[in-house]
Amino acid sequence: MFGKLENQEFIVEKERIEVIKKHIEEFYPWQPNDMMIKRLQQALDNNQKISGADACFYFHELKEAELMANGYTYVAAHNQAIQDYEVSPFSLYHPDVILAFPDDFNSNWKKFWGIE
Amino acid sequence: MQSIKLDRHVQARVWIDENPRAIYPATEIISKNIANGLTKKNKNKNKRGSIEIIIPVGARFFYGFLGAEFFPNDSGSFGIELLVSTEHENIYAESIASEFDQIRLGLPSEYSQSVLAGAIESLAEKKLGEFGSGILRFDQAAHSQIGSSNKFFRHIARTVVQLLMLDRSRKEEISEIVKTYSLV
Repeated sequence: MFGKLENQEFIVEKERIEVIKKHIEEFYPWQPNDMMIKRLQQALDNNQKISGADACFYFHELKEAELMANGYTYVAAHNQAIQDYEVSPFSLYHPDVILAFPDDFNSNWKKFWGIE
Repeated sequence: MQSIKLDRHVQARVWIDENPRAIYPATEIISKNIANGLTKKNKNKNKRGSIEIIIPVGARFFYGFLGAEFFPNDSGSFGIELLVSTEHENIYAESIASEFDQIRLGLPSEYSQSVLAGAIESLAEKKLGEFGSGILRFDQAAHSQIGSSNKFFRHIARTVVQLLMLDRSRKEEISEIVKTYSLV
């Protein structure tokens, strides 16, 4: 479910969180994104490595930002980022975020994470 | 059909008094009477409004398609009908979101109460008297495995009601309605 990121842990970098924050500003504000970024920031502040959904979101957004900066459309960049890491689209938001905003995620997300 | 491109990568298609033919077999029809004591508006003919919209938000996107028709009648009441489907209806190949996900026709029961709530909320904002007595029937829909949600279908239902209320001579207001009522 986490593709190439399965069973791995990664260090979060401050500069890269800034890239993600700037990239997210391309879109309409949406609280689950803010909560995912807050999780990354907390990992950085606490010197903790990230894995699972946090890593999927982190690398997906960085790749999407890079590709869009190079002229890709949103849809092309989004799909390419998913393909590059071979992750499930449902792996990009942490189950705690899904539980915090249940109306924003349909039952497929909840089935994926076993949180129905 | 009017194609709309808004800022922040939002795309939509809107049909006013046209039939987008996003039809599906209903497994259930939900009916709810929401007002009585209304008169039929003689000037009212049947009205149809539909919207398909995709809103990217980064690591995911929101998607939904919903259409409804208002049938004026002499019943004195205002009712909403909702055609509910399975999750496994035909693929909607013409969707603007086909590059993102497999889009299927239909309105699964998961979203039915949100559509109803969104429609009622939107009708409460303006007076039901503007419609007069009749039936508002949601009979066209499509959904995404990844991008659809209860919140989003609630927003789209609100938008459809506003599109039905739109003065037909003021179609330039369509983009503003989509912005006001659909965005996350």
